[in-house]
Order: sequence, then structure tokens, then C-alpha cells
Amino acid sequence: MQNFVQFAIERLEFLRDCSGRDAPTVTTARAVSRIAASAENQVKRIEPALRSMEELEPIARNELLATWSRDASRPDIASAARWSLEQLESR
Amino acid sequence: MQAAASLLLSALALSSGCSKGAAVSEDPGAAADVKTALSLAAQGADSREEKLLEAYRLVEKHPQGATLPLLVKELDGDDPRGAVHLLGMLSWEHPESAFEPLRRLLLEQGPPLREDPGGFVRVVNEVDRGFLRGEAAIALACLGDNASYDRFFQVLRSDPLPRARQPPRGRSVSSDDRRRSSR
Repeated sequence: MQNFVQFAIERLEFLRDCSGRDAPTVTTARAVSRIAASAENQVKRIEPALRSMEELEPIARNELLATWSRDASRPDIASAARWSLEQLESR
Repeated sequence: MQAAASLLLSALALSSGCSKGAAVSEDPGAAADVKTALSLAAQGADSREEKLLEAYRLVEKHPQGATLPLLVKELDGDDPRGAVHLLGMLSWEHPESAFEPLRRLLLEQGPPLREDPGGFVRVVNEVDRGFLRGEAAIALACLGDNASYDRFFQVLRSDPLPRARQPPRGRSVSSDDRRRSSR
């Protein structure tokens, strides 16, 4: 079993840092937090989260994802952001 | 007179209960689809991917106002893993009604959950309730319930399932965290 609570704390801290920002940022943050901790070969499980990001303006969204993907203090969020960026750019 | 008033109050209470129930099942299509989605996602994140994808589709095809109350109601059922997973993985505009039951599941102890994965051979699996507490933590985090933050540290400090007590990666449980969790 993965450490659920560890993931939960990282996600909640991340969402808290993003709260109060503009709507596309909050939407992207929520989607990334749902993707974090899902195994990367489980694309279908996280399809709703990817779909919600597809509806956003791509340049700003991709910049956010690129920024978060470099955040070494949040390894799961960084990994999810990097993976999301790759998925969205390949669609 | 008093008896009549009492009768009237009982009737009002009954009718209010009925209308509340009707509100939850107002859209029979949504109720049927949510029921199917819950069975497809009954094993939470451990459910098969194809089943989960279909479960998401069934819930997302209806307005959130019709599906959210049905999923929240399931959190009080015998096996709420499907509802916990769907609430955590889908996007909700106003998920607040799910917070309180999920917070309860986050801390709830008790006997293992009994889970029937289906199939030709009927087998009932027992699932440690610690998994459900973990899945509730993930759902609360995904839904952005800041009020649960301190409770997460409480789980880290005292959950009977050892893996749930591990500190977040790259950090130890600090004295600040301990103070927070003992509040």
C-alpha cells in the first residue's frame, strides 16, 4: 500500500498554496493533485483530470505545469505535473 | 388537541423525510447510473481501470447536483470505498457536503470491510479499514478540505495501520507537527 496520508498532506499543502489564485490555476492545481500518486501507466484512471486541463488555455497552463514540475520539495506533485505536461503536449 | 398537534408534527416530520429522500432520488436516471458506477468502483483505486473509466463516465454524464448527494449518502453505507474514490477523483464545484462524512471515515476504526469482488466464484475479501482511512485522506486532500490538515497529522501520529503513520517523504514529524496533532 502506498502511504496515503503522506500523499494527502503534500496535495493539501499544494492546493492551499494555490488557493486564492486565478480560476485556471486553481483548476490546474486540482487536476494535478488528483493525478499525483496515480501510477503513470494508469492513464484511464486519471482521464477526468487530464480532460479538465485540456479545456484551459494551453500556454499559461503549460507554464504552470512546467513550474510545478521543477518543485523538488513536492516530489509527487512535480512528477504529476511533468507527466501531465507530456500527456497534454502529445495529444 | 395535544394528540392532534402531535399527529400533525409526526406527519410533517414524515413528509419532510420523504421529500428529503425524494430529493436524493429525484432523477431516476442519475440514481441508476450512480448505483452502477458505485458497483464498478467498489474496490476503490484497486478496481480495474476499464471499470473505473466507465464509472467516471456514468457519474459525469449527470449534473453534479443530482449525483453528489447520492455519493455522499453512500459514505454512510457498509462499503463506502467506491463513493470515496469517485468523490476524490472527479471534479466537484461544491463538494462541502462530503467533508463531514469523509472526516469521520478518516478516523474511523472498526472491523475490516467485507468486499465482494464479483466473478464466477463468490469470494468475500476482508479489507483493513486502514485502507479506507487512507483513501478518505486522499479524497479530502483532492477536494481541498483544509480543515482536515491537522487530522492528517493525527493519523500520522496514531493510526493503527503502521504504513499510515510514516511521515511525509523527505521530512520527519517535527515538534510543531506533534503539537498540531495533539491538539
